Amino acid sequence: MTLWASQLFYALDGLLLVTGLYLVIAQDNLVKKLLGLSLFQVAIFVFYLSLGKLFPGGAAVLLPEQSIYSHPLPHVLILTAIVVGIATLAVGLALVVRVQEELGSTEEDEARLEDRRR
Amino acid sequence: MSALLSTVPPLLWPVLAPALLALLIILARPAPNVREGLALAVGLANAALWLSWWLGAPPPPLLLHEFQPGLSLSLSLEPLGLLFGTVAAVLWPITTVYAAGYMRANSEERQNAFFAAFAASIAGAQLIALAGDLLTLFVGYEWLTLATWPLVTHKRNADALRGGRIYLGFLLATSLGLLLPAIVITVMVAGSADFVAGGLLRGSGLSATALTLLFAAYLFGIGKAALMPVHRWLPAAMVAPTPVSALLHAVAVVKAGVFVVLKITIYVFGPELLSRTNAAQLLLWVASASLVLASVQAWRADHLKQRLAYSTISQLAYVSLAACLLVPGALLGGALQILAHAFGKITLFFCAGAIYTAAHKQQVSQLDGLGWAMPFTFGAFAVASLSIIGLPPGAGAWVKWYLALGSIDAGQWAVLGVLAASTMLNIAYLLPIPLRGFFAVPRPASVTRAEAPWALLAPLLLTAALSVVWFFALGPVIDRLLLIEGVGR
Amino acid sequence: MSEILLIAPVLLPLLIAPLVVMLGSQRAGWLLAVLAALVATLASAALLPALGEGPRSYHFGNWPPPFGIEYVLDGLNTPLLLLTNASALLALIAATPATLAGRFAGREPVFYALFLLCLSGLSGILATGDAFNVFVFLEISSLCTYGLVAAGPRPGSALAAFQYLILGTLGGSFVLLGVGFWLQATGTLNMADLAQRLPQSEYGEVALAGSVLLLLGFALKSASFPLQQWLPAVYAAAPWPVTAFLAACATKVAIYAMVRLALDVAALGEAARWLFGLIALVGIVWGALAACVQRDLRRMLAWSSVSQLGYILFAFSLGTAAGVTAAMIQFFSHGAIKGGLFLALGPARSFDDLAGLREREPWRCAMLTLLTMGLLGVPLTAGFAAKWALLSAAAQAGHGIGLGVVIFSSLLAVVYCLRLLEPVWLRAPQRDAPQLPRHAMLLPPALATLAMFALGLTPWAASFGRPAAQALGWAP
Repeated sequence: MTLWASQLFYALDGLLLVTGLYLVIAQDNLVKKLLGLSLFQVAIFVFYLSLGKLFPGGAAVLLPEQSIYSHPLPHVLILTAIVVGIATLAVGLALVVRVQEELGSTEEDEARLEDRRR
Repeated sequence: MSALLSTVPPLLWPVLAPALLALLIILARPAPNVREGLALAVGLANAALWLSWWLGAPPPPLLLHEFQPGLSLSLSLEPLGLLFGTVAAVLWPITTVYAAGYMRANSEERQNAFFAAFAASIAGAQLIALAGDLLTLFVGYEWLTLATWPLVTHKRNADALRGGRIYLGFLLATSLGLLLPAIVITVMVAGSADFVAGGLLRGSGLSATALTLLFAAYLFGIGKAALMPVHRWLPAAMVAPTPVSALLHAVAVVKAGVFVVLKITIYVFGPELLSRTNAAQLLLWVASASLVLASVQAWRADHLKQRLAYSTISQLAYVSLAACLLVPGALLGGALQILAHAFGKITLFFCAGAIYTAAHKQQVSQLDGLGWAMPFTFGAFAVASLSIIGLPPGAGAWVKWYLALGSIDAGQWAVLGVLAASTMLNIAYLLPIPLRGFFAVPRPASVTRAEAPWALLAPLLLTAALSVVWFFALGPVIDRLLLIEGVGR
Repeated sequence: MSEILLIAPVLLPLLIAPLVVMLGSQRAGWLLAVLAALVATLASAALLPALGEGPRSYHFGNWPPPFGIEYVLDGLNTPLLLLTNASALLALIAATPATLAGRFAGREPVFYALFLLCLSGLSGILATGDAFNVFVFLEISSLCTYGLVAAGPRPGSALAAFQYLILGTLGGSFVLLGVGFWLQATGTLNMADLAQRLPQSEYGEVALAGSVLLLLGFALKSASFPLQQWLPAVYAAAPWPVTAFLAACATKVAIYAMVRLALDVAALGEAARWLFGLIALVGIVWGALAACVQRDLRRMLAWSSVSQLGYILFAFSLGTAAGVTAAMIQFFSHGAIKGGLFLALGPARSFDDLAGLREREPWRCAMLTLLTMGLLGVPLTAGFAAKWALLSAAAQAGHGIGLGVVIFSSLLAVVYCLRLLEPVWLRAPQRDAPQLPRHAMLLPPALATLAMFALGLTPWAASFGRPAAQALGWAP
């Protein structure tokens, strides 16, 4: 588990990120867009986590005998970001419900047409 | 009360009084007689104040507000401003009488708003006359543009809306697009916005090219001077009721434009700097072309107010021409044009309004034989035409005289030709109007008099008479103007 | 005491927001929210007098700066804190329960709580000296904005809010990613610390990539060209007090973040300033052109905002003290004018709604006219002061293209301002616009109008130029 492994990790993570972004752009369904957005955010979370991880190292508090630790700060930061992500998803879903109620569709094109028609 | 009044510095009154009047009319909505009586009283008091400044010593300059060192709002009185301010102030009460008669005779709507905007416009014009620096000048300039917009669009029909759009579009665009940048650059180069005798930019060391560009930016940026090709707003503004065309678009607004041109030439650049660098040569030809082309347009126009509007454009170009000739005689002629053309052109517009009110005719071709029904109106028209053309006994004769002397002085013989050509054109488009009125058809055996009401007739006779009086009484005005550095020798 | 003052503008709305919900009463909730905004405004005003003494910082939990979270108030962000809080105050005064007109069926307190949280988030972005904290506050304010926009009266409001949520979250995620890159390159999140370490970092490319991502994120939030498309939709969809609030300060806070992170912390210098200048100038023209052809009143003003925000970015891109002064004046000038315009327009959405306003509501007509004059840059208004400062700064820096673009856009402003004035003054009323309680209609725009003239006549906003330039290191 050396440098190439972490490089691969970043590459996979990048793939996840771009997949999410693609879904956001390409999908017409509002819920699917949200899922893509979540994927995009998760990719960033994973990126943060991998930043702090050192492969021989472990948690700083648990293993007092170890001299190499994983950096705890990114983990703590990403806890906040995960909360933000959940909140965003919740608000987004709530808005989708409102769109369905008011414009009668969760497909973006149809909803937009309906909005323009009124 | 009088203690309160005396705390207001005298220089502020010409701006403050009309502005307060406008506010009062908007807020209190007085009855028509009260309103017009009040406007007349304020106008007369204002005119008296201005005339008193000709006799006594000028009041001291006044600093209103300082934004930062070198940038302030200030008022000061110098001979050129005194001339322009007095012309506007004297003609205002006369026009008030005319407007009262006109608005009632034609039963126009929204008269309250009309008189309020009128007073507000006058306040703007007086602020321009009194401006002590470029910034104050610009404030007054924009104020005047905006305050006259409701007047131009007064009728609120499609024509008025279109006219208003062109009016505001041209004037705001030129002032924001050229005049303001020119002022910013001037202030940056000179470090101050104050008007300086002999020229603010005299020691600035700008190159000839830079000076030419800056001068052009000013000349075209001052859209109110209606130098071609930024003249389109003036014919468009003719959709306004005639008193507006008369006082604002023959006197206050357009004279504000040429006044600013002269003021910039004399106090910002200084004739000496401009003639040394030859910066005005190109613009001399633009002004000449504007002068002749507008005359041709006027000659071709059949609508009476349109013809007068193009005539105004042509006459304004005389002042721009004078500013570009840069010799003392020409500048004096340009300054006198502010006075002479104001009285002449307001008379012509008054006549046009009187003809419209009494006979509902607007086209020149419809006027045949009308002179016998309205002899006073057509007589006044003839007298004022003489003044505009530059024939004695009209005050305009002196303008042509000094301009011709100036162009010889400057060695610009071609300009002399331009002046001659334009005089011919003036005759061709102005004199046929009274001639048609009297002689196009044989005099009918029995004539019924059908003059406009006295409120319209009296002002136009007065202004026509005054434009003859000025021919004989111009001495004190010239003496005062000669005090300006660059105009006096 | 003064320590508390540093964090009061951020903490107060944050703490009051839950209280507003718990109170449960519409009227009491509104009063409490207004009160909170008022105190926060006063607190940020109280920070101004000591502006000349250099930056002041507050350490949370007494942790020394590189380790704990730090708030730093200096010449650049303190004035903006006041702008943000004051705009929130005016918008909240206008947003009475009666104004909201039953959109919420008894849940108005939630609206006020969202409003306060949004305010707290914006203030937080301004005040914090910690890069990750910027992200957190950005998301707080954004999440609340989505809710506020969705509260708009149109059926499409929720859709507009959703689309904004997608874009906003993408922007926020870019910011998060950028902060991560910076963390990787330097191992720190404190801005002052970052400013020292970024230039020396051995991972220069990582640091640069982080800067680019951060810029991208905030360019989106600030509606800088070419990422401005969401702005008109959001302004058109939101309830009008919210539109006024967002127009007065939200995008400006994002511009602040761009300038702070790119020019101060990352010190990208010439390259970033060139980029800022480019997107600003294109945006100025594009926004003004688009404003001229809009059919919807609010969209027109929104596009005008795109143009006017470009002025700010362009002023910063000059990289001179005079440019910063122009930017500070434009921050306040545009805040007062555009915020005031939306407040004065109230629920009016189309040009037809304005027809005959002169007869119907003369006072509102007067304020609209004056504020439009300000937008035009007529002398004595703040708009003129801003334009004057900007033209001088551009001329001083020898930026001829910028000078031309600013002038050209002010000509286009004549066109769109005229489109606003014409129905107000000249057209006969066609149908009645919804009536509103008088005080809510008149007081906030009147205050904004007064502020506009005060800004135009005094050098107050210009006096922030020097401290702000010092904060950026562009003035001694």
